[in-house]
Amino acid sequence: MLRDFRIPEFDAPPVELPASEVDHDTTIVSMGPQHPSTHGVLRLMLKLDGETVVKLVPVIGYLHRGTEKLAESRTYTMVIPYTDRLDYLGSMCMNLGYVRAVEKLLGVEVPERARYLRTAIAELQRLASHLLWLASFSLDLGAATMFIYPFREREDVLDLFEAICGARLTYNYIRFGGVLADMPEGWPQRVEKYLKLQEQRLVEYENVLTGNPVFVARNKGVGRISGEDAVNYGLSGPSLRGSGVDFDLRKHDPCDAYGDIDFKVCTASEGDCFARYRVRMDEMRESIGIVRQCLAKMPEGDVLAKLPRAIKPPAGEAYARVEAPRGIFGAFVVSDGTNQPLRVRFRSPSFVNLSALNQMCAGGKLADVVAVLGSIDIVLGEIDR
Amino acid sequence: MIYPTEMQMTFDDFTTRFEKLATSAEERDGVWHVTATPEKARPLLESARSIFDYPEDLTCADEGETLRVLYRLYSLTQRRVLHVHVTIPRIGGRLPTVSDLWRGLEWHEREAFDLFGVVFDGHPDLRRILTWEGFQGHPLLKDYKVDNEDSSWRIPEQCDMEIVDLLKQA
Amino acid sequence: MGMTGDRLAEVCGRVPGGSFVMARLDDVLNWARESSQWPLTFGLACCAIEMMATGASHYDQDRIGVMFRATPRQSDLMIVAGTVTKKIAPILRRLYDQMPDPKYVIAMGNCATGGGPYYYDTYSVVRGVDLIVPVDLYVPGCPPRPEQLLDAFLELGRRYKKEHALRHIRSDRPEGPVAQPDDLPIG
Repeated sequence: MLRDFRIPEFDAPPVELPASEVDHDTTIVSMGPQHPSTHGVLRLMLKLDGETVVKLVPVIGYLHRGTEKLAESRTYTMVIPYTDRLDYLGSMCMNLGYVRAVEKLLGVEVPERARYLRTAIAELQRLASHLLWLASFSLDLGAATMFIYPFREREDVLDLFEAICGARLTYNYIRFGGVLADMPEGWPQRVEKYLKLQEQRLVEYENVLTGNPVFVARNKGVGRISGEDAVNYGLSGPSLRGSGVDFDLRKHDPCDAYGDIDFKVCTASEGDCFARYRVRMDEMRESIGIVRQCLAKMPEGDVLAKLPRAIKPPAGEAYARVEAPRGIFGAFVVSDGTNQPLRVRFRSPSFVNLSALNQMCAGGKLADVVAVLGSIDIVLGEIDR
Repeated sequence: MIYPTEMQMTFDDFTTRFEKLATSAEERDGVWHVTATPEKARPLLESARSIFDYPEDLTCADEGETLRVLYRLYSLTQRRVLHVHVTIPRIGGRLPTVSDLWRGLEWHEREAFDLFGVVFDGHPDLRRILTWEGFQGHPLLKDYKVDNEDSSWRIPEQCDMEIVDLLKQA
Repeated sequence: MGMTGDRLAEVCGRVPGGSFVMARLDDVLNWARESSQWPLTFGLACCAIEMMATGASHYDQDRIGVMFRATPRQSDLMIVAGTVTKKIAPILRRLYDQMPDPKYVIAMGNCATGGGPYYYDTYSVVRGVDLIVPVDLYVPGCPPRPEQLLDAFLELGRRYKKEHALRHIRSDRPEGPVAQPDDLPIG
């Protein structure tokens, strides 16, 4: 009965204006620094033709804190807490990148147990980061229920981190030569309990989102970038693997214990938002497997190599990279023999991923900009440093 | 597709290919380091483009007298990292852009311009990226001293017209 | 609305027991305000993540009435969570000016309180958001735990009891925050 309800005006064919009458005036909109969906202080200047995005220019620098300049006035150990605050959702991986670079300069050998612990911690950090990505991505698209659920599991991961190093968000845990402290009593059992819970919950999240026609319609075919373009732009992480390129640094250049762990690289071939979503959900499952294997294979021993109190690497330079949750994080450290670095540079994955946003959004609609921005998962702390 | 080890390029093949363009080449810890002069930098990078297709990083280091620009490129097929070091003068250093070869280095070149003052000829949009409009100086140079006692700072007048003009041209 | 406040004060001044009515009205309005603080989301850096965690299920700020509003026109509280840089400072001030009175500012985290770990040796960080907007409450920590932020909301609510809410709708109200925190206990 309701289907027969018709409004005659809506059934009339649309009025076609002759091309000379249509006025293609473009508007410039500033999706300004304060916006609930821009994941931090990012400004997107959009040139709109009606609802179609003609060009998109991101303006960054609103969180530029001068970390690289500041690091030149600090000792090597004092820089580690600043790396936490770069990508504050993947802090452990940021620590890891910088620490690996300085360890290359020092020539220090990390003990076996510390390598497995670092791997387990990095994968738990990946889980926490992807959970928060899922929450904010869903909130941006309007699925407010899915904002609450992943935060529940994220609190469990943060409790595990708090048990092992004392902090919830900025850990300062990975140190030169290993990690700060060994795991407390009962930590592996707590992790196993959390992992079992997370596996069930991932199934729940898939049930809510993956089959949902609104979610699929907002994400399939939106923000497409091809594999060659993605490689040309230097994208990394799930943004690259969602376009079919299977570049995962954990397989290409395995450090720590990744060489001994069995896991697969998650890719998807379409290159749109839905593909990137799929890649991250698969990565969460793989991370659960990696943490289990690490805890099972972890040998006994020290967690911190013996190093002198004052860290004074010999003059030289080193570049180390880490597969952070958002992509490849690189740290370039130049030493001049003193206890303060000469130059520290952080190559942040979100900086590069954001530069491809124009390519992904141009020609699409305004509402899709929010979906694409959520799917490439940027963190302004590491973009602006 | 990763080339099997037999088909991978060895360091000797690489040096013979680029010996006219590079000043020196060495292999350290699996990474190939190549030094080039500013004039030969662009031809070297153009010929390396076919193998090294993934742009990782472009950064600078202030070494007192000169500025060293580092291009870090990665080959997905060969799993090999290439570092190209180019030394330019500290003030007024110019290099040709490589943002047409690798789009990913476009923003890195803007950042190098913003923080070090290196000008990249031919860059489509060489503007400051991290510091604010109206910022004077190039912060990461060694002679840029930060004034820790600066209490006379006031909110600067900000001008958005630069970006709006840019969009109008598009 | 200003005229109503003036008229009300005038009328209550003349009627016996009128000041009692004014005081009770103040209490009702203060109680309403402390149970529904609507902050403007101004998450800048890492503290924003803890602010989001406070809003999520485990710490749930909605049970004390705090609901995030994305627009300054509908919010009465601004939580500056994260490092304030010189580039964002004019925008922060503009947003603060766009908020209607009565408005309050919570400086969350060490960076907003006084520059935090970025106090020395940076060229682009403002050493504390109180150089730009008047701050009512400082929440220290790097980042502060969500419980600290919940405590901040409750503390701000307690401060409302000392205010005369009706003064805000009089036409001769003073500029800036009205609460005088000198007589409040520390901590």
